[in-house]
Amino acid sequence: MATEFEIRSAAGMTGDARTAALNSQQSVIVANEVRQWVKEGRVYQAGTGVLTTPEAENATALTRQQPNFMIRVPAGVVIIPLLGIICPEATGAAVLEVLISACNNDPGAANMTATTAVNVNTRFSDVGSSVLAYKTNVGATGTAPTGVVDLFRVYNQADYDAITGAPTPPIVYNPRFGLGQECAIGNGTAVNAFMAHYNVGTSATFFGIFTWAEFTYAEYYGT
Amino acid sequence: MATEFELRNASGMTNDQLPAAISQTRSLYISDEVSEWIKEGRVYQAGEGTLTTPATFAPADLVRQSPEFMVRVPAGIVIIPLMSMAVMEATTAILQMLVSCCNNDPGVASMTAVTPVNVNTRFSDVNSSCTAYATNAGNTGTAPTGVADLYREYHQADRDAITTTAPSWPPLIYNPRAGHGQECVIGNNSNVQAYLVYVLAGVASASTGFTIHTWAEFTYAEYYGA
Repeated sequence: MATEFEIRSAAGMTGDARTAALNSQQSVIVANEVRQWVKEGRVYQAGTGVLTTPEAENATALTRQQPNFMIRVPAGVVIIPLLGIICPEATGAAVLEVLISACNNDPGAANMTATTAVNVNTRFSDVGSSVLAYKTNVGATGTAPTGVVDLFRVYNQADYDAITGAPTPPIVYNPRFGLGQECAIGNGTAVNAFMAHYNVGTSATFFGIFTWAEFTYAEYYGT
Repeated sequence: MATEFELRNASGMTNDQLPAAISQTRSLYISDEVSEWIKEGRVYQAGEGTLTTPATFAPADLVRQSPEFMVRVPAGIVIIPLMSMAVMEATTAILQMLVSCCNNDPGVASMTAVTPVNVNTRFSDVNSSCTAYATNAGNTGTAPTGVADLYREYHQADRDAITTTAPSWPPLIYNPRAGHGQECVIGNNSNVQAYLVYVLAGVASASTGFTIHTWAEFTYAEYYGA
């Protein structure tokens, strides 16, 4: 008799016990967990810059309280950052730096502009995210990040937009593909945050795309 | 009736028996084990250089007793290194990176202790069971033994002289689960063992940069069940 498992849908466990599928060579078919999170409507995207207009970045050096992109994760929610793509347009000076990090307090939202996160599953496009995303930093956010953990860093000596004889791939944070360390952000009692910093030594413009998966604290930890 | 398995959470096995989930098309979901370790608060990070101030890499060449970064794993603890990345700021000549492990205590002379931080913000205030060291300024005191080399890079170019012809991308990355190097296990039940990372660029104390290192931690009993 075949062993049964329980179907999980976008609404959670269904109580519907069914056999798992095999292919014609009788191999068990394994589903990618992030693909399932996308299916369940857990994955959101936000970024900096719009179609043809990059975002002018304020900071000319890495400053903890001046992230170019930030996600404030409220108490009771947990996120897993999945992807960051950072594309410089005009760099103007040498040395491009990128830093991806997380912290265990609320950095505040001063000098940032809220931006609307959109679900990457079009079925759930109109379902709002449980977190708050911010872009267009123009100064300190208000509170120094604490418990900071650095997850990914890039230091590029060249003036990026002066490289005209070779391709300049985007800077990619993608921990499930080896580019940076995966993390979990959020707890049951306080705001925690995801921060992406990117700048060159002078005024510069960038586009950024960021995605993450969202869970309630109870869904993620089971308590 | 569905077959039941036992839930594991940050506290260990729960005795809570539930069926495993499948999709509407009846594919089994497989959760990534490292993601679960992060959820359980097992993964820590430490590194060198602060926000805008790079570390200075003292050695002029690879020297076993002069790792740039080291995790000392006490008896009774086991770690699995997950990622080490280095980004160079100032360089002067040939750039080298070597990642290795050893089965003895190399000592901590000429090193500076750094505080690891959990990569799960829920556990930010929970301390690592290991001690991490950076900013090497000479020999650590004892030659590493039982050394296994896990990853190496050798770049002929003076990296910071590449200013117009190509991006300095990607960073130097040891990440065995993504094909960059050999995974390892460090730790036993009776003595200190260590994880060692070497980064340098040719001329003593003339190269600078930033490093980020992460690893998962287990007690010896959790890992080996004995």
